[in-house]
Amino acid sequence: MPDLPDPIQYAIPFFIVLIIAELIYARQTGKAKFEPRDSGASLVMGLGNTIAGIVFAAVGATWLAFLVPYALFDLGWAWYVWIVCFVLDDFVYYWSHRFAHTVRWFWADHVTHHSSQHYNLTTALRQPWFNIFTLKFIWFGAWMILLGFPPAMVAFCGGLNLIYQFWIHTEVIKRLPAPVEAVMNTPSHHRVHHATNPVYLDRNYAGVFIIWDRMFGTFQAELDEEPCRYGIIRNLGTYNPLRIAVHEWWGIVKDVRSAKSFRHALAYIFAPPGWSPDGSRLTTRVIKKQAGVEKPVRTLKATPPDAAPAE
Amino acid sequence: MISLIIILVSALSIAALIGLNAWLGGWEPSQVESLDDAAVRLRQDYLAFEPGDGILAKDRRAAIILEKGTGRIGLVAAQGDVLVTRLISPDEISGIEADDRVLALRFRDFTFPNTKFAFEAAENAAEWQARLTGDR
Repeated sequence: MPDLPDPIQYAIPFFIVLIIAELIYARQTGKAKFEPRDSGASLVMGLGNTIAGIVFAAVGATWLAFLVPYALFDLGWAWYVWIVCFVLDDFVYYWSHRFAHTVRWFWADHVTHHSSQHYNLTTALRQPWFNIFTLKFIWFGAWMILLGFPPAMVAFCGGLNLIYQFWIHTEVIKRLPAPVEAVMNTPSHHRVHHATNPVYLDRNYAGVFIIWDRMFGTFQAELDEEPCRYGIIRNLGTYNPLRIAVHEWWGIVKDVRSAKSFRHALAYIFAPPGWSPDGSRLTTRVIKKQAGVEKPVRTLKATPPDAAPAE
Repeated sequence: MISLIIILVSALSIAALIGLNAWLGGWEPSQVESLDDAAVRLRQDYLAFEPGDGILAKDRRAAIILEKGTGRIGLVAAQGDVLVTRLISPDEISGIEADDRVLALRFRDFTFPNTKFAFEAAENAAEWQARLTGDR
């Protein structure tokens, strides 16, 4: 079995160069927004994520090694296995990411990444610190190994997937040629994902290929008449990385402590973010319903009731 | 050892990037332009929000707007070059102190900044202290 490096470690210098380039371009053109404390918080969150990855690496590796004997097939290392692995890993990423937005337990971790009102390359690095506690690697990390892909190959493809997602966190690139926008996740598609406008909420979960959103009805094109407002429903008024990392976990603890029944306590943990027993808080589904944008739309000006997903 | 080097180099790079960002500039502290502006922001974030009485801080870094008929308090506060909103009930305010023309608010929500409102007159500060604590 080849000893594969972590591709993200090799990508870090390129991340830094691209951030510098975007900073200078933003200053000269005004086409992107940076604020030092926000950028600092994002970058420190990224560093913390890297440290957490190193600290907890053995936990994930042990789990994957434990699964290997139960694999259905031995798919080996042929070049075409790499391609299938990369595509299937992206498919698993789509569902993992979708659950990260629709189950509060996973959202408590992922909210970190969405917690900036800025959208630039530093936002890509604003990553959670306590990913391990979601146990997501147990639920979503297992499928590829059980199919028979080598763990090192799966880990490497996962790293490539995350590297791809770095450059799409920018306002500098408006739209790419139509064939690219049709198949790939692009800055335009991912801006929609980071926006809190009701029409954009819970859309475009893709990692590399936007085709998964088109297939499963979660695709929304960026609309010229609806500029993206970035962040989360309840935006953060802090740059403190620790507060950013723990705020939703603490919210769960407070809600569970105040729950009047076991069922409510479970719902506070596993229902969609924004769920409350009396409906005093709003889930994404309710917000979209109130705004009349439950389904993807082609335009906000005249939305037919049976609007099909926009291309 | 390689991991330690990566962490150290990353930390230095972060410091350099923040420094570069600060040196290049290109952002301005945000302001709440008017009470109408604050109401628009609150309606964006809380779709059914119905603005009632409100007040804008003298430095335009914060605004309070009461929600009609619910007793909830709409807050808009400047944070760097963006605005942050909250729609809270009075019991989510953990501390409120009026000192001459300045009203200082602290919140139970540790993700919302402590906010100081400077008013035109000391009576305004006392009046809004009373309204926010439910004494009036």
